[in-house]
Amino acid sequence: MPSAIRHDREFKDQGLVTILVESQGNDERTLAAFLWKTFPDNGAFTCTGVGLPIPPSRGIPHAAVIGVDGTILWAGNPNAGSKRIDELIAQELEKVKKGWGDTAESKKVRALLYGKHDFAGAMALVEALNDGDERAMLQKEVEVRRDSATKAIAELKRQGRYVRAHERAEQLVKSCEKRADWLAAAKQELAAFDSDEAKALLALDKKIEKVEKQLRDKKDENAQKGLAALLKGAPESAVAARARALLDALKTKVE
Amino acid sequence: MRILPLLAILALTSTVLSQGPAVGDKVADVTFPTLINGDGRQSLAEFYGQPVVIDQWGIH
Repeated sequence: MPSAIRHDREFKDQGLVTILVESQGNDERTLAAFLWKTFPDNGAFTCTGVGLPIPPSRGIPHAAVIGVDGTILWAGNPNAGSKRIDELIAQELEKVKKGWGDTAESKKVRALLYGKHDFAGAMALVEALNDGDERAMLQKEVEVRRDSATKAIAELKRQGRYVRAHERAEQLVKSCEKRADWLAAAKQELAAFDSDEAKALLALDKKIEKVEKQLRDKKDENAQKGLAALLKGAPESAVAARARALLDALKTKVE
Repeated sequence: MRILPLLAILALTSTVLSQGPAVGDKVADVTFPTLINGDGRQSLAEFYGQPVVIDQWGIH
């Protein structure tokens, strides 16, 4: 698991997705408490209680690498296979950057879409293609990607992560710059952060992020006091709920 | 004697099915429960276009 957290930290910005799956049946509250106490710097997607469609193993730790096109590339013990995992990550991130596919057009579209996050530019290339299966497939990929990016803003707000939601909204504007209708919709998402209420939530979330930094710096005592102070008099909101959940995780004993 | 080839096919099919997915296969989709640090994407298919490392581990 530590190697997966390292992969996430080093390669997330280049496009790697890391998913940590706790497989001993612990509940979500225990999982959150364990992570904050043991791996406070974990930023990877993490969950518990799900069966995985990867080659089976005889025990844990067990890992799998899935390529950009959904092919299972490797599976096994992550400690024994760390060198191979590193090689495959490098290989697949190169595809994210340069694109992949059967034709030069596919590669160009995907390089823009996944490598540069340029949704509008990718769609312009798709629209220049002749009608056919390739065009339909690439168009769908661009639409799915843009929908996901928009959905992420709402989801991060729901989680009380206003700072990250704001960053995603700014990114979405950049991704849609070359297409007027998409840009207008993206700007609306960003403008939603200009209200007084949103500004207050952003300010509160920034303070919680400082507390999270304290946790990463192993200053637990200061963190708990800081969270308790932030919550005093704070109105009910998704951000306050996030602070309370974090405080709860810090107080939960993990045996 | 005719039954032997049939039994052989059944045994082979059963072995293949019990082994589950293999390296080289396209990964099947799965929906995740709540993802800590998630961004709204809930299924593996939604990560298409990005390499994915899945790490199974245990607290204890």
